[in-house]
Amino acid sequence: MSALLQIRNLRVAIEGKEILRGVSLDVYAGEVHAIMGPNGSGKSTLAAVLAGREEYEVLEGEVLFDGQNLLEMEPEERARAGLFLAFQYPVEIPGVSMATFLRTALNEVRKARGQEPLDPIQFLSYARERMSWLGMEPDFLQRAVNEGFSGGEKKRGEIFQLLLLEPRLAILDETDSGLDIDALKIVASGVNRMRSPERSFIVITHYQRLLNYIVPDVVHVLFDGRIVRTGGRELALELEERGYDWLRSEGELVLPTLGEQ
Amino acid sequence: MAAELLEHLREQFLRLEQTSSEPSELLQQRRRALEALLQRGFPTTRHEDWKYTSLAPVLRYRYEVGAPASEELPSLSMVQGLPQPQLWLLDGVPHVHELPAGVELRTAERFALNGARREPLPGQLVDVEGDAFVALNTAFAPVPLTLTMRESLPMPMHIGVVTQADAVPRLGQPRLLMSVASGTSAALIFSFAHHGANPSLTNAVFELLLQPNAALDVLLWQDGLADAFAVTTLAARLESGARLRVWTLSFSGALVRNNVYIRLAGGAADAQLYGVTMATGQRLVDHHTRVEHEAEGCSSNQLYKSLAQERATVNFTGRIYVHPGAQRTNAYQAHRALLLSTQATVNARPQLEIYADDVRCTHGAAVGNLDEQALFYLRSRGIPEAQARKLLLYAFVREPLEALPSDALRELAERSLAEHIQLPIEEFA
Repeated sequence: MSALLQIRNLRVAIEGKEILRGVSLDVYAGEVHAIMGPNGSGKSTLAAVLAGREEYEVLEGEVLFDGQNLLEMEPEERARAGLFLAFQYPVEIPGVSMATFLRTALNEVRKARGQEPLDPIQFLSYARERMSWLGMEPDFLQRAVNEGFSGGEKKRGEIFQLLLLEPRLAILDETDSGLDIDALKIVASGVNRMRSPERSFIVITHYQRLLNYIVPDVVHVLFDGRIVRTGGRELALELEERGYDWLRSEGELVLPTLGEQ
Repeated sequence: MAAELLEHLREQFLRLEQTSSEPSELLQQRRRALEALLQRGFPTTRHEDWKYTSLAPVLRYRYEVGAPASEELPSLSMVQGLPQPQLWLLDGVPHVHELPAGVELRTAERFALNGARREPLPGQLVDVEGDAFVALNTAFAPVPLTLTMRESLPMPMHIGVVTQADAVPRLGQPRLLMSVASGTSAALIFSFAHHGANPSLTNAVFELLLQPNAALDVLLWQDGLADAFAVTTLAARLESGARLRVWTLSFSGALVRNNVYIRLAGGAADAQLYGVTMATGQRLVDHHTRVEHEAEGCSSNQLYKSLAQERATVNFTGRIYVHPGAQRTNAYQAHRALLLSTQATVNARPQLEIYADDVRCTHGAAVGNLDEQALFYLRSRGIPEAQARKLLLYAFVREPLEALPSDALRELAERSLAEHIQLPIEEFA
């Protein structure tokens, strides 16, 4: 069986500067991959390109998602095919309620899956159940999208959307940044609840801490636009202990390695 | 073109004057107004107040100004979801369906009656001779009316303003002097519609007197004007402690000019002006506001939001005038617009004149594009780009509707707006 996500020698630039310099990665259904690395290594660029941000220029390489050429798809087509990005900085949209936004989004995704749309009442009960999993306030759906949310509320909101949309591949872009330990546990419990043999995750993080709660199958180290190390979860612990500096000395010598599937 | 129309108006005036049975005081006012109009003509873009609004498309037609041939109410669908109007103004002629309790409607003849119940003559709050459209209305308005609200109204009163141009181009001129009694509150919804295959110009003049501590909400709901023309002038005088809120919802009409003139004449009066404008095609919408702080401790706020798409133009000129002695004034004004095409135009002119020293006054005018980050966020959740754009336009422009006096009214206004943006309604249930 081929991987759900296949990234082959992906080179990406923004404003003429090459950020990803040949990334290859296979993520199989049911796997949780962590991508770690220092600031500026290209982690968020990888997430952005996968989600379909247009300001990035793909220089080379290809990405297949469930066999489809992901890079040729519009962002909304990617979402409807089952790709989800939990934003590092969720966008505030005054004037659009969470309920309107999420019901519209969910019904688009349901339509793509061949399911009937949910009416407002069905949506409400479906959404409320998932809100309770994350201990969210009942007025959440009436608030404008991310407007005036605390950092923790925004991140929780992203995980809530993940629970709602039930993607096949969820990319979490530094979802742990700015979270205290209680919020981190709630976010992780939401993610763990969604783990299944059909669903994959890419967890992008700077710190090991999140991986105590979302235990990855594979850990990659992204450094200067390349994956320089791939290993099991013990690699994350090693990074926690030694930092990223020891990679800096060997960085240029280490060749990209693929997942051990 | 303008000269031909003026000559056409003069001829019609002479005919109407001969058959008129109106009191001489009114007739004299009409004649003075006509003479002022003939002498000054219609404004051109050389007039500062009309700098960005050319009236050429409006002045091309020889409008019929007389009362309509048919007395029958046409079958009209006004704003969807709103109860049918309790009062119709068809080409300026009143047709009463049912007036709410505490509301009195009287026609012009009463103005000139001598005695204790003598009413104020219309025209005290507007510049009858200096403003061409007020002059036009004063000269021809078929039935100047006074509408007096003596008690608080539990529900908004709906007034349907319709100009019918079935057989000929028509000039519809409602003229209303409204008075809200001391300490009472009311809401009035004016919905504007055009009817018929010929061009029409609706030229409405509404004067409002708010007695001390009266509270009034006014909605100018320009939903059904299609490709017709409209000029509305709403002029209000607020006595002490009175509160007025005006919403101008401009969703239709080929060329629409909305004048809102407010005088805060008594202490601690408050005026809030809101505007939502949706301009597509080649529409031109021109909002003109003037808020005069004449007394101490008054507050005013203006929030206008506009969308200019395709080849449309949105103009906003907002004046705040703080008179000497109007201390402790709070006055705010903002016009925010999204410019959504390279061929669309937005002109915003805030004008502040302040002759008192204890004043807090701010203004802001911003023109921007759609937020690309927000667009990407919506699309990344599966919402198609076209729909995501509409959702963002809707979200941007609806803000002034939030303050509407009831949830029911707000939802109606939101639906009406969504329809004009062509955003599927079911998303809002």
